[in-house]
Parts: sequence; C-alpha cells; structure tokens
Amino acid sequence: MDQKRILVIDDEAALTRMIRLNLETTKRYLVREENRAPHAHTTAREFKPDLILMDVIMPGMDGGELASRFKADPVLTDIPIIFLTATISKREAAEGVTNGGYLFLPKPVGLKNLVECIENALSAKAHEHKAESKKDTEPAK
Amino acid sequence: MNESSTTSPVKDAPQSIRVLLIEDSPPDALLIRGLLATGFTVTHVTDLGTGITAAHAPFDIVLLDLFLPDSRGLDTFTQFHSLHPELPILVMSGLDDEHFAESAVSDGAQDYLVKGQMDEVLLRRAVRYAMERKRVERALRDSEAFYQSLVESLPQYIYRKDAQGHFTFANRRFCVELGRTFQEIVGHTDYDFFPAELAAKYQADDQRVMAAGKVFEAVEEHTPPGGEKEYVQVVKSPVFDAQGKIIGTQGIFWDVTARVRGEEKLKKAHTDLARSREDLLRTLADLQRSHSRFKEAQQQMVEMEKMQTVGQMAAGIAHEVKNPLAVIRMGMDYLTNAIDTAGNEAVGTVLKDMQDALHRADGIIMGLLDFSAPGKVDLRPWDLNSLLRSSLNLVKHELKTAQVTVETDFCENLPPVLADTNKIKQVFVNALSNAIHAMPEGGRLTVRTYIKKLTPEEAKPSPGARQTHAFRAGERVLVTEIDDTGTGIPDDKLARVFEPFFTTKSTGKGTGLGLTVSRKIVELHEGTIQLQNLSPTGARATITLRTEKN
Repeated sequence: MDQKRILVIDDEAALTRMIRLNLETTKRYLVREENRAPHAHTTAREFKPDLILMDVIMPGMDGGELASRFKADPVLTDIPIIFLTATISKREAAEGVTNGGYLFLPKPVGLKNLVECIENALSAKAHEHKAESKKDTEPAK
Repeated sequence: MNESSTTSPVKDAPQSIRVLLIEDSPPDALLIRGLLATGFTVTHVTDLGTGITAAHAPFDIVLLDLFLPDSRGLDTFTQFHSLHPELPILVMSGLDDEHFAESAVSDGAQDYLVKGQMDEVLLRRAVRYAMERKRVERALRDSEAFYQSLVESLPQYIYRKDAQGHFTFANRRFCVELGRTFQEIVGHTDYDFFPAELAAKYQADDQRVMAAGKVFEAVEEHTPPGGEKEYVQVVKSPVFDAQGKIIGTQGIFWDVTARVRGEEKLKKAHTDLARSREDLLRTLADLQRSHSRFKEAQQQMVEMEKMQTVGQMAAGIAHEVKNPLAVIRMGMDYLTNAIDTAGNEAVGTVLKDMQDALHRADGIIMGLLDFSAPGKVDLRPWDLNSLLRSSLNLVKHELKTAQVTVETDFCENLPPVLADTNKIKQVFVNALSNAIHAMPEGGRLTVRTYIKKLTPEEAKPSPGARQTHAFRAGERVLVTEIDDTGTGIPDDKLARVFEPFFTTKSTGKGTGLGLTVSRKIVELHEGTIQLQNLSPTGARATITLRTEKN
C-alpha cells in the first residue's frame, strides 16, 4: 500500500519523534521531522509531503507565516496542513476550529485522534483533487 | 475785752451755751438774761434785721420774740427760720398771742415760752430740750438723706408695696422706668401699670413672698412700652413692722439684659457648635463611607488585575506545559502499542495509571485555558430545566459511584434562560461534582429551580463581586439551587472558594479552578454564583441567571 508522506514541523524534537514513531507503527505513513521552522520550507520542497503537521508557536518563524509561504509556493500550495497547538481548548477543537481553512488540533493529542484527522484531511484533499482535475479537463474538451 | 476772754477762766467747766436773744422789750430782755446768767453766753439784739445778721456768728439757740419793731407775728419766725434753718428756735409770746407761738412750733420752731410764766428752771430746760430736739431732727434728716441717696443713687429699681399690693414707695429710677411720677405710682397696684396677666403674676409672687416670709429671686423678662424685650434680675423680700409682722413686700430689680443676651449668645454658640460638630461627624461618616466604597472598588480592581495576571500566567503555563504533555501522550500511546501487556499485569496497571495522571494534568491545563480565554459567550434562550437534566446526566456515573441520590424540584413553565449552553453546563457540572465530592459517604443532592423578582436589597451587588451588569430591583431572574448534605465549607474558607487554585479538596482531587472558571462564566452571563453553608449540614450553590428580556 502506498505510504503517505507526512512532514512534522515542531521545535520540540521529542514531540516530532513521538509523532513519527507512533505514525510509523501504523505502517501507513512515511514521516519526516523538522525542528527548525526557518528550514521547513526547504525541507518541504525536498520531501514533497502529502500532508503537513505543524506547531503554531515556534522560534524563528511561527506556523502562520510558514503556512502562508507554503500557500504562496506553487509546488506546495495544495498540501493540506494540520496545526497542532497548545493555545486552543479541547472544546474549541471539538467544535472544529478552523482558521484560514486550516484545521487545528489541541495538544496533547492521542494517536487515534491524530490518525483520524490525517485521514480525513487526506481524503478531503483527494476528493477535491478529483473534482479539480475533472474541472480542468472538461473545458479542454 | 470780749466774751471769749471773760469765759476763759472757767476752762474746765462745760462750755457755755451761746444764745442769741432777739427781744425789743428791755424788761423782758433783762429778765431772760438774768435767768440765763450762768452757763449761757447771751448776745442780745432788739430787732429782726440785726438778729438775722447776728445769727451768722455761731449760736447754739435763738430766743425769738414774735413782736419786734421790724416784724410782727408768725412772719417773724418764718423769715428767720427760712434764712437760718439750721438753728433751733425757741419762740416767745405773750399770753394773748399764744396761738402764733403754736403755729410757729408746727412750722418748725422747737418750742415756745409764754412771757410772764417762765422761771429759771423752765427756761433752762426749754433751751436744752430745744437744742436736743433740733439735734435729733438734724440727725434724722441726715439719716434720711443718707438712705435717700442710697436708694436713689443705686443703679437698681426699688419699690415697696403694702400687703394689698399698693405701691408705698418707688425710687426715681423705678418711676422713670414706668414713665410715671412718684405720686402717680404710690397708692396704685401693678394692675394700673402692667397687662393683667403680668400684674397677676407679680401679685402672686408677692403673695408667695409674704406667705413664706422668704426672699424670692428670679430673672424675668419684660417689654417696656415701645421698647425692646429686656431681662431683669428681681429680688423680692417681705417687709416687717416693728413687731416682726409682715406688712408688705419690697422689691429691687436691675437690668441683666446684657448678661442674658450674652448667655443666650453663648447658648446659641453652644448649639451652633454642637450642630457644627454634628455636621462634622456626618461629613466624617460620609467620608468614611466613601472611603470604604473606594476601598471596595480598589479591592475589586486589585482582584481584577490579579485575575488578569493569573489569567495571563495561566495561559503561558498552559502553553508551556502542553508541549511536554503532548510528548508524554504520544509516548504513552507508543508504549501502549509497543509493549505486550498480556503476560504482565503490572505494566498494564502502570500504563493505565500514567494515562489517568496525564488526563488529570491535561484537565488542569484545560481549566487554566478556560479561565484565561477571552470572555465571549453566545447567549441564546434555553430551557433551564433541560440544561440541568443533561448536566445531571453527565455526572450520573459519579452519582452512582458515590451513592448519592438526586431530588429535583423544578419549577415548570419557566421562561427561557439566556445562556451559552456549553459554558453554563460546565458551571452546572462543576457545581454538581463539587456537591458529590462533598458527600464521599453518600447523601442527597437536591436541584431546585424557580423564578423570582429581586428586591432592591438582593439587586445590590454583593461586596467584592465583579459584576459589570448589576441586576435591577424588580427584575425577574431564574435561580438554580444545588444543595448537598455534605460537611459544608469551613467558614474561614467560604470567602476564598472563588480564588484561583484555592481548593478544600485533597491533593489530586480538584484543580482549584472549578469555581474560579464557573464564576467567570456566570459573570459572562451577567449572572451571579454564590456558595453558602446550610443548617444543620451541607452547602448550597446558588446560580442566578437572566431570563429573556421582556
């Protein structure tokens, strides 16, 4: 089965490692960690992830700024991003807080919940992609 | 040479009496001189004119014949007496004109002698008596003058009345005061000078003085005709006759208007002072009141600031703690999957305990974030009883474990409550949990709802409350009461239960944030939450919320 590529960006190395180890136990994901936010753009272009998990508050560059750079980069613009954050409450998360179209997950998040979110985001993306490619091809006819 | 030198040899003898004899009849003169030969020095003149002139020299007595060449009859006496009133006069008359002599005596002559009836003894005695009488008369006049000047020169008003209240005397000052002459006053009563009411009072006073035989003293006010009100100090005393019998009254009074006015001024000053003191005390009380109000406000501000600081700190801590918690959470998940616990029960227990601890730590952090999260509520109309039923449902597991029975006393047909359903449910669940925790040995939980109209007293914000929207008196509010039968809250802790991190529960049982967050949420609802102990045991949480505005 085709493994999905997940890029995890967080300045907390222990956290990115735990996420990687946990996601790898599912055998469904290939995970790359990035602990230095300013390097994350380069890493993303190189790794070509299917989905990005990232922290909001990081030294050097925060998650919001990083996300807008990805959006601005044609190569990375379509990659779904899930924010992992300590600044929202569980209830806000339960209510599906989104900001600028991004999904937010509160820390600490359990593996089960995390995998669900990743899968939802990926399938939504796939859906959208299909629709878009249809749309792209139709006018060409 | 002269008479004084002739009398000088009898130095030690009593001084001779100097007599001026005015007599035109030589035989009579001769006779009298003969009778007064020893002990008397007689100067003899024969007419009134010479006599009057001669009388300027010192004489002790004058023997005056009423029929002289230059004056005759009573007129002789009158002339002489008017020019020398100080001299005692012995009038001499013939047998046939004795009535002139009597008239002279009644007009001031000391005595009279009838010529041809006098002998030495009679004459000498008459002379001495006349002199004595004159001396007594003079003394009496001096005495009278003394008393007169005393009574008239004192700055007091003095009068006397008889037993029937008729004036018998009034000094000049008194006459002037009444605006009457002495004659107009004497013989009249108070009723002739004063209004009946006042006169009656005066007479009653007089009667009292006479009945008691004692001095009466008072300060009385009176208003003289056309004048300003005056005050007089009055001393009335009884008048006794020679036998000690009371025959009337006398009074002396004097103006004390200045003194009384002074006293009145002093009294007024006292009153004013007392009043200013009262004003001052009132002002002080006002000041103290506003001071305490100010202090209260200050305390509220300090508390708010503290809360804000705590909030900011809490947010910071929450964020910092959440990252390590996230690592632990992921690590736990990894280990749970990685380790085969089938053969090792202890590992499974440890992992479970660690999961629980993590869950608890996360709960505390969630509370902190709730507390520090910017206040925003989405108020919508809801059925209060339904919210409580669903909150009770959320704690049903705890209720069962703690063997707590539930009684609900819901008022039906309540108007909808204005609430943010998720947030207010958090408040209810917190209050229910607290009640359950207060009854570890089981007990009864009572949830009650009702609607009430606030009295002005109830509408007042409780001290220290950080209510931004106070309730109005007469406003209809929805009240939820959650009662437990637990041990209650120690009185010294009751005031602090809303403080962050304050808890009465044992370590690990509470976050110390439940009520802090609850109050914050209730305040966002513009409502109140209060805790109180119940008698004999237990505690009550009262949550007051607004209903839809009508």
